[in-house]
Amino acid sequence: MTLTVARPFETIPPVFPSSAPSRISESSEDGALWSALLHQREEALSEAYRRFGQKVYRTAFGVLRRAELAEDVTQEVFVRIWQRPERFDPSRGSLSGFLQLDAHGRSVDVLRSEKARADREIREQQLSASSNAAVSLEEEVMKRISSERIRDALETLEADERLPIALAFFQGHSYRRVAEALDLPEGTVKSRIRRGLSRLQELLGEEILAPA
Amino acid sequence: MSENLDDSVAAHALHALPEDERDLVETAVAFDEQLNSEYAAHRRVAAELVEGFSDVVPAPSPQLWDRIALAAGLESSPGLSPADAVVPSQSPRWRRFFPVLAGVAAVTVAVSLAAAVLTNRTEPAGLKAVAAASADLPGSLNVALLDPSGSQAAVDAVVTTSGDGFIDGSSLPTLPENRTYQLWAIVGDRVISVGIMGNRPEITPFRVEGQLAGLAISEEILGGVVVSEQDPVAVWLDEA
Repeated sequence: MTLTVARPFETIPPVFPSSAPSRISESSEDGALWSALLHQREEALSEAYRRFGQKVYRTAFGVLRRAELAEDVTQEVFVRIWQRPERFDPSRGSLSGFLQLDAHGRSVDVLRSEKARADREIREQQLSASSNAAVSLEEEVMKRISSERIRDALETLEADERLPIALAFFQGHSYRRVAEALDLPEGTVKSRIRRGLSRLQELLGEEILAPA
Repeated sequence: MSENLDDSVAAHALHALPEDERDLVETAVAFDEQLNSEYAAHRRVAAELVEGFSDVVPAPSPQLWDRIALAAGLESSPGLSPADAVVPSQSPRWRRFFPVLAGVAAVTVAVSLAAAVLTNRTEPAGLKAVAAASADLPGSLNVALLDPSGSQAAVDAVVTTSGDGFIDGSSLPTLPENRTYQLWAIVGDRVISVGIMGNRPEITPFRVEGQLAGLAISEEILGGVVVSEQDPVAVWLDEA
């Protein structure tokens, strides 16, 4: 068997009904796709990739800033959902969100791994240089956020909540590193992250965040 | 439930916990309903935040889907058109090792999924006997793949007249779990992936159709690649 095709996401034809923007249809499509993944229907994986590949890759690239590492993570995310589709719980959110968060988690692991140590050290030096550097890093992170809705929500938070969340989530730092960089106790950083997330839940709206 | 654990759950939802703290929090989340519920709520916020990553990113490689299909062990490449089955040439780095490729403008690379699947499902002890018997068959080609840098032991391979081959990768150093050795054959002006050898290879069967001009092993990401960007770790070229 020969498998040799070059294709961007959009050239893969749809297998399942898709592209409806509403949460309700997204949820039912997720269910059909997930069921097909559970039954190991191979077209389900290509459909998942066609639908969510760009988002997963974008998330990985957003954390890693290196195309080859982002591709590795994207590959891993789709192989994992193929091998263990039961990890996704449709009652807890969308398949898109699940895959993107999986990509985020794996990207953070890669970022912190030996492989990315060199890049990491440079970033950490920048982060540790001074509190001003941390603030400018936050500004840089905020500039990278393309979604106005997310940026607005983050900007509504108090700075002491926003900064730990921005540095942890969008830069992939552990809370310990964030604490070090901001010269704060570790417990304080964690509690600010929690408080900020609770505020974001209110700001972003319960109807959006409700389980599918 | 301690305040500290609540805070850790929030940090975990953002993947901000160091590895050494994750097990504790995951166990707590699994057994404490309230923590579980709080974690789910934080995860939903995180799933919204993840939408904030910039849309402006370079396009991923067009071969990424192939890699995924290969790594997932798909038996077909569903939803994809065989008519598009043209892949760019191997990287220029490989041409140093395969003079036969020099001057070839575009090389079609075929990935033999069947060989990859077979590799993962065959019992090594039985394979050793079959490989040994194949080496003694009349007309079998017994070759040694050498490390271009000269730092590793040779890798022995045999290819019978019918095109069935075996390669003994046991002399290769063990790779991390997320890496694999991949076997390539040069047939005419094509470089063909003929097997995924795993990270701790022993005997790997493969099949070659056509006039074999060389064999090479590269180190790749788990699941293998369609086009290698790595220098081969071992090479044999038919000098005849």
